[in-house]
Amino acid sequence: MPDIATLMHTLADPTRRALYERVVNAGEAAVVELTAGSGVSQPAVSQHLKALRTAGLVAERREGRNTRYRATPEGLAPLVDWIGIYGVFWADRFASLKSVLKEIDPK
Amino acid sequence: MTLTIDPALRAITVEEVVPHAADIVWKVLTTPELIQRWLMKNDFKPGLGQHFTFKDRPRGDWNGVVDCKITTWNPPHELAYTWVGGSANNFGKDGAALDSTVTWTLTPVAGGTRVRMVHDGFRSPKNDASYEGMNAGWNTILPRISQLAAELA
Repeated sequence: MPDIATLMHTLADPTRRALYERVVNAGEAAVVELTAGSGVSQPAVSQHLKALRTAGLVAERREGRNTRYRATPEGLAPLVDWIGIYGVFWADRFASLKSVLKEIDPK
Repeated sequence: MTLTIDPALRAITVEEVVPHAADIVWKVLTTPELIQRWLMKNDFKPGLGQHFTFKDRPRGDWNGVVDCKITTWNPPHELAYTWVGGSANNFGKDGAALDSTVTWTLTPVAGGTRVRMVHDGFRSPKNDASYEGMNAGWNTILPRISQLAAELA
């Protein structure tokens, strides 16, 4: 299973995240359908799908000459898991802690 | 900043060297008005054995209060407190029941202080069979991932 950092970096790209959400909402879809109306070229969509697949977020299925993609919700487990939520929480708080430190102890 | 989650998913560690003396960092970790600015509303009281609370926003049937007790008080080097809050009805998502410990360790290093925070005592899908809410909340966390990824980069 990919680690949480891999998932975060995979989903940090806004275009890729939007594509992932399209896959989630579509249930299952081919590249052509995922490209239509997305404002992103088909090769780019394919590249992003590859990254999402590597991260365990989508799975592919061959159907004749087409490949269809669906979201694999279990791939999100490390993030959805609320320890992930606390990871985000503490990273946020650490950033705030540093701001307060900088303010009371300017160099 | 380095954020680490242990393989058993029981602890989160955040560690970073900040360009400030340990006593300054200690002050920010232990002064209620300052804690509120970076962490949460609180009624922090200094000293070993003291009880205090953090006040977070309520989630589900949890009122948002985190109960704490200081278990290590060694200024300006180590501070630990229990972190108990949440509700069993929020299991598997934000606001889950938590009986945990937060430990801060400050180590003077060249140019500043190494600040290490360990939040230990999580339960997770990997070590709790009753977990079932995996799909809950992913759409709430996604928007925050970009920000975190940028901070980790």
